[in-house]
Amino acid sequence: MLNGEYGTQQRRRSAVLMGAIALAFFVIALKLYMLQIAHHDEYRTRAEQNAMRTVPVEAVRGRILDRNGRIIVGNRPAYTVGVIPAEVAEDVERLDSVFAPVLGIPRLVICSKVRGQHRRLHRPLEVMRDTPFSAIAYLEEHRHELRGVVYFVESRRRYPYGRLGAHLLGYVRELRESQLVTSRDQGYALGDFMGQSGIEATYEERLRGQKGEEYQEVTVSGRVVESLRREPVRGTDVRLTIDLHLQQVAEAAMDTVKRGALVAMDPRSGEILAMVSRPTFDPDVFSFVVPPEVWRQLNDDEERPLFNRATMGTYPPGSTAKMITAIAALENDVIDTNTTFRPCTGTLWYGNRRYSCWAGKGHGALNVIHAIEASCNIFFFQLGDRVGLDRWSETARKFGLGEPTGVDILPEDNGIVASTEAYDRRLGRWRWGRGEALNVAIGQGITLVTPVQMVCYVSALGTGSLVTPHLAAGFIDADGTEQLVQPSDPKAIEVEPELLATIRHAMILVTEGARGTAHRSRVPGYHVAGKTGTAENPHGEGHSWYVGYVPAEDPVIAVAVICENAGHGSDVAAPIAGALFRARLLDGEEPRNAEGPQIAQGGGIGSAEP
Amino acid sequence: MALTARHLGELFDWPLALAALGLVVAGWVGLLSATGATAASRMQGLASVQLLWVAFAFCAALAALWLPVRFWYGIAYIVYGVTLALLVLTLFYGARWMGAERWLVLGPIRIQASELGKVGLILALSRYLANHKVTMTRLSHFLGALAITLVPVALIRQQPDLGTAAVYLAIFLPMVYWAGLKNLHLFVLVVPIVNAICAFAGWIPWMAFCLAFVGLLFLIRPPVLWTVLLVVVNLTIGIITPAIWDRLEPFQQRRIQTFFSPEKDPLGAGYQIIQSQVAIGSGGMTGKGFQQGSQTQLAYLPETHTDFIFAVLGEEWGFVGTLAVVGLLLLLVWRTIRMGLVTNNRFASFVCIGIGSMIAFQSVVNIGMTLGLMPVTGLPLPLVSYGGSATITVGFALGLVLSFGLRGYE
Repeated sequence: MLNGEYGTQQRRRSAVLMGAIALAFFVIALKLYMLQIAHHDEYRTRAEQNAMRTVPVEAVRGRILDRNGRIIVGNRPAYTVGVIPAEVAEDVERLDSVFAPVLGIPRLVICSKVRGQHRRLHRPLEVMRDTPFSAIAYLEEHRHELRGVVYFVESRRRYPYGRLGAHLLGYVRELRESQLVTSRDQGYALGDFMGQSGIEATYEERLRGQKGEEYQEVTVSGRVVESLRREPVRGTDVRLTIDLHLQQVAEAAMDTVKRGALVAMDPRSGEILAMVSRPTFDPDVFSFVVPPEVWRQLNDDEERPLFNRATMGTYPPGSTAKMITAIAALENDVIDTNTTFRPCTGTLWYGNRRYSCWAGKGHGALNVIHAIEASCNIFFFQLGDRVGLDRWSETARKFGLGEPTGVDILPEDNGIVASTEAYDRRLGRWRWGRGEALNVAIGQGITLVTPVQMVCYVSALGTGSLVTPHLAAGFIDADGTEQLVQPSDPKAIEVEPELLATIRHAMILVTEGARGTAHRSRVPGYHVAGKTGTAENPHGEGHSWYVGYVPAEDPVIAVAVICENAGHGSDVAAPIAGALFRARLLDGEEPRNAEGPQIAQGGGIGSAEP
Repeated sequence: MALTARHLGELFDWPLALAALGLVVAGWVGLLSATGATAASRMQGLASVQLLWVAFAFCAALAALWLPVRFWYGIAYIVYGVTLALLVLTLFYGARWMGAERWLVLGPIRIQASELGKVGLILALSRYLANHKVTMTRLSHFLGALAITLVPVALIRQQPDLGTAAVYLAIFLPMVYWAGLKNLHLFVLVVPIVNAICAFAGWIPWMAFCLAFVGLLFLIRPPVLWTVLLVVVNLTIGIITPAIWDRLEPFQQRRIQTFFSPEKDPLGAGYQIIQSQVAIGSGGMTGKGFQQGSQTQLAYLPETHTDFIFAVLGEEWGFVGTLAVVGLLLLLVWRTIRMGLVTNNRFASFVCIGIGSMIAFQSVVNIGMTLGLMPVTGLPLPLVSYGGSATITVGFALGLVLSFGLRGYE
């Protein structure tokens, strides 16, 4: 023990030191009292909240039905297997050796997943999605040996008709990280499925439904002792205007075509009855994680199978545009129905250029009706020169060309209508000759159209009104009540009805006349109005076109078909349309139609005769 | 020296030894919870490893107990030099861990040189200050002691480990005070530190500090020259503190920000403080029971085996448990400082003050952190937290204190 003055001093100093330390410890004790005694209840509540967890419950996605309520896209159960890290901690290696072969996954995948997880040890860690049912059966039989292994049922897309309508239906795909950035606000999470194209994308909001939640209270070991559930809301079913039977006929007919598209529509309402694009793809490959090689293959394919040619493919209309030239000439009084030009000998010299007709020997002298029937280029070259580009484009726009049709699957191409302005923009002022008007008159030049625009065009020729094509007929809630889609009213086009009747007469002759080019689209007992076309293009043989409707005097179905590089319209496209016309009118089943008039049977064409 | 009955009966400091034993047991119980059957697999087995560290610490304590005081006096500067060398090695070959380089890997052993350095500093400072010719009234002697402290601090600042560097200063101040530093000089030393902390906290705490500072100046009435110096230095600190802020490592900034407003960052660093408070608060009077703490077991608490082990004890053993641990720590510190007062050996006296201050500071900072009273610094709780270097260092230090008790009257 220290003595004397030094000792006293050090005793004082040790007291100061101990005093300071004791003060700090006292503050700690005080704070401990505040936390553990005074505010204990508050913190106990917070700890209990921590022992609650919220697990999202997926909503079942709405189905997609055809117009008669038959399921085209349904759902199927899919099993996802997971492990709870906290429960398998000790014997993860044994589990791996037993369970990996059952699942058919490489060894040590489970090990590395479990060891890589340091937080949320009581949450299931996903091991395998879309597990084969045999593995689930094994899991059920060996429950006691496989502690910590869980599985849950998820809902996945089912396509009972395989590739049928792949482009119009679209596909769903797991959200990518990049998409999540923009969609997190809408309640999406990583691993959620989202419609990526077609109907699945357009009506994503209705189809996805609303996620539910399960609140689980867990013990210290993470075992669920109590759970409360807020049920998810099932997605709305979308009933389409598509007629399954017609779609099947269309798919079968288009199977002979390598690349092309078909749109069939009810010209009175704009209800799309069938839509096909070739080549196609299998939407089922997107239902689970898409292997990179599959994705690359689909994207790199030069034929572009994911590309919906019905709404996005743009083609020169070829001879199917001749009705526009004829109407432009007739309504501007350039000609009347009796006017004939210089007879067709197979060639025409214009400036220093030679323009030829598809029929090498020539058609002789024709009026406009027979020129349409025979699809004589020489007649239309001479007509085009007299009509001029701008009057032509004005008429083409009346039929909705050059702008989106408003169909409810996106995206849609606008196409191009040839005009002085369009040529100036494309080729530069003074860089193109008057001869372009001749090309445009037969549907060549810079004009580009999509198949869906063409079906609207030919419908308008038949009915005198332009409609908005659409695919959704109604939305059916979980309780079965249907909310019908109100189609926008048909818009009458500004063309004299008598003039349209003349054109219609010419289009009937295309099917029935001696020189007609679409005999193979005939339907026994009905008059078919149509027009073939062969769109010349730099990629080889001409694109084979057909547009038409039936019955001619009161159309119930209009079709536009294009087969890329397939040759003459009369050989390839017209027979495909014919198959569809016959299926619509002759097969027993009739498309359901809420309000439209019944189909007129038979009947002459007297009224259409000039 | 032969151990006699008198040694064990009267001179051996049983309260100190038992307090240390109690803390080791408490730490091990906490560790069993933190690494229990339901916790993460990577931590299982740490409890048995800690037993090995405790055994090593016990051996270190026996070695300290066995060798005479003059032996430690003789090699004080050598120990200091070796620990400095280890710190330098850590600078160049340190392994990255949790955002800071603290570990020196020597074959299978990972050494936290900054822990060993504390003992080196205490021994070196004690030998320097024990010299009768050294007096704190002379500036050169004071600066000498400061230099001994700042060399390892500078090496640790480089690593960077702010908390451990603070421990070195917390060892230095009480020791120079013990060596006879005047109250006025102590005031001059402590005030700038308080000033800097207040300036970090924001304008309002700093204005409060200024008021208190002026009040104290009037109370103490230091000589005019000192007063001017104090005012100038403190104003400068108040102004340049925000500038220093910009030069801190981002994780250091985050820790300080989080300390002042944990709720602002509830998912980041603030998460630790909030969950720790919830764990301790939910423990209540008697706690949830061994391995029954949901905060611990559901892995809401971070670093349960090291930095936040006190929170595990608070959740599972309640107010009773935490008060027991705090009480044992206070007992340990008190017996150590008392030993510094009763021993006749001047060197031993300084060593005790240094060790007592070190244990007290680390305890207050670590527990304060789990309670939200202090920023998150990563300082272990002596004898309770898991860790080899720290446990062995404290074990050895307590061995020295017990040894002084046996030999102090010689």
